[in-house]
Amino acid sequence: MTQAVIAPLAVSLMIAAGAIVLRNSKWIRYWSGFGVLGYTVSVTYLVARVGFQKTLTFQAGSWTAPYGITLVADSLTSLMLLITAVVSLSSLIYSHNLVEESGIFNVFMHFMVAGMTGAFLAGDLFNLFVWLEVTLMSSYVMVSFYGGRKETYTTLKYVAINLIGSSLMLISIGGLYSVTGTLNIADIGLRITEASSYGIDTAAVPGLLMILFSVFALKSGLFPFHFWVPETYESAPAPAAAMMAGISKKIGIYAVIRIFLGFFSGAALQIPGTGWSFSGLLGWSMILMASGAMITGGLAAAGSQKLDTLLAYSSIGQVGFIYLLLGAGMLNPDARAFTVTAAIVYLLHHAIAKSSLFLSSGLIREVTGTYDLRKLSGLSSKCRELSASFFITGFSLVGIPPLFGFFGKLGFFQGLLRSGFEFILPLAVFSSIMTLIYISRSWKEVFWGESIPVTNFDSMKLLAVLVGALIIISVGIGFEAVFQASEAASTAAVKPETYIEAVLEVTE
Amino acid sequence: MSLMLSLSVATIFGIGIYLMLGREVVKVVIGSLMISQSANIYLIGMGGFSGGVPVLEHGHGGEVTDPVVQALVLTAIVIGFATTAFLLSMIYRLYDENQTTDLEEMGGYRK
Repeated sequence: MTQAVIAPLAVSLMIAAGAIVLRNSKWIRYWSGFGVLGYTVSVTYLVARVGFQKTLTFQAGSWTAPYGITLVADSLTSLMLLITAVVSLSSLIYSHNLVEESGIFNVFMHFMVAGMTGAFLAGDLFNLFVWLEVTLMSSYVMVSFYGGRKETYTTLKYVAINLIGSSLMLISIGGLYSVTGTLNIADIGLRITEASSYGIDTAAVPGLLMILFSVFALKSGLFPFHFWVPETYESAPAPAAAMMAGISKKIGIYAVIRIFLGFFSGAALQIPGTGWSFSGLLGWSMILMASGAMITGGLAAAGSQKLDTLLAYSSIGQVGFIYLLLGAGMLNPDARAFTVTAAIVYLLHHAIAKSSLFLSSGLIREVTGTYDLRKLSGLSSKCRELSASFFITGFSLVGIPPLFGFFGKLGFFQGLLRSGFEFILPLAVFSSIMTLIYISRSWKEVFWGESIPVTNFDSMKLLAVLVGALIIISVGIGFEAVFQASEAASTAAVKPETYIEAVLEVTE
Repeated sequence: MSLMLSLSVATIFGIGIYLMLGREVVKVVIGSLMISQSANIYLIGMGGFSGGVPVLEHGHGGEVTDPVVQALVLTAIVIGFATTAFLLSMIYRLYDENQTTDLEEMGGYRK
């Protein structure tokens, strides 16, 4: 038991609470900057404590698991927290002057960070639900932030959809609690894997888990639950869209990795009445849904006329890539460790690249007043930093070496080959070509040609955009370290024995 | 008891879905509220009703009902309450801007 685990959560909550008090004063900018730095420090401290091997736990109020509230940090969690810190740092630098218009924006940015931190640290299903709600509540405010007709209408739909998602998640949690008698994810996994020795009837479990999976698919915007994504990201201010596309979506993917590829992967569950195994059904559903996402996301992004719509559809397609790897890993236990590693690398890359691209698009909108690709032109002569950054992050998304994205794509194709899913390769190549088409098209439309009139570039915002590009270049050069971290994270997820021992404090 | 409970969960959930499929925005919100309420009732049911005394020693050894689900439901109600309050303020704002509560008429912003 260690206090380091709760440090990021405590820091982000205190900063958010302080931001409520200071929201109308001129100090909010400094408080916000100080807060995000403090958050980064606490996350770094936790990551240093966790390292590649350890699993640290914090049992709230010393109520031991599975009875109390447990916060857990292992190498997967610490990697997710690190990426949260990076993305929230650049998003908050970017939103420094949105603060002057309305300090409330910053308050909800900090609450969003707190919610994400909690979701990554949560050791039981109900806490995961609560922290997801905290994140969602902040994102509702973000989406409605501009308060126009369109934004309000989008918010209504977004909230209604997520309210149903939350109710379904409650139903699944309640069912799992009723079957297993525990809420702790590690304990649920253990009890279902060894159902006979605990005397548990697992007939209802596959259905409950499929409901849970569809909720996570909704939260991560996987086809066919992707319909809320484009409008929502269009309505949200650019830094909020960067946070939502970069991190908030990844909570769903993180939960799928942690729960389905980790704790339930060893369970021999059968779908009652058929001869199917649960992992087979789930794996094939993931592959089907991911294929749908890659096709729709790629085609719709290539056909978009607006930069923010294009990025939103692209994000649907990229989530498909990640889920395809997870589905392949679900179906092939021998290749699972590698495909999950590849999925984590892809996820990290997408979080950084997409958030930086959303910030770039916000900056483009700010200086030109439009997202319309047909109207935008010639920005490369106006701002070299922005065009360099857009070029690097965009083409990293395509997978051009030696950028970070190249390793993501490399791992993706290797993962498919190693797990025996060569037949999906044509689809993956098609989707990669679509990525190349929409990125090079937006690059050409926005940065080439006759220059259109622009206003001044805000240097702080340029800095925020450049953070992502710099990380992508440096990771491209020093990929070995990131690969090792992802491998450690993948091992922690797919071999959950150390996690279970640490959480339940099993003493031999 | 549990049959009654599951019937009421099913009915409330059904009414919620029916209301959400309508065009009237207020009904949509009430529908989503009903769905989350039915999830809450379902959660209560999942704990069962095995006894009638409090968990702590005041009960002097009688059967206790599982308190965990009740704690969960309390949290879920608070979250649902906050979300509904937010949704209601969104309706007010929508009415303010569109002078209508009909979703199809509101959808015309694309024009």
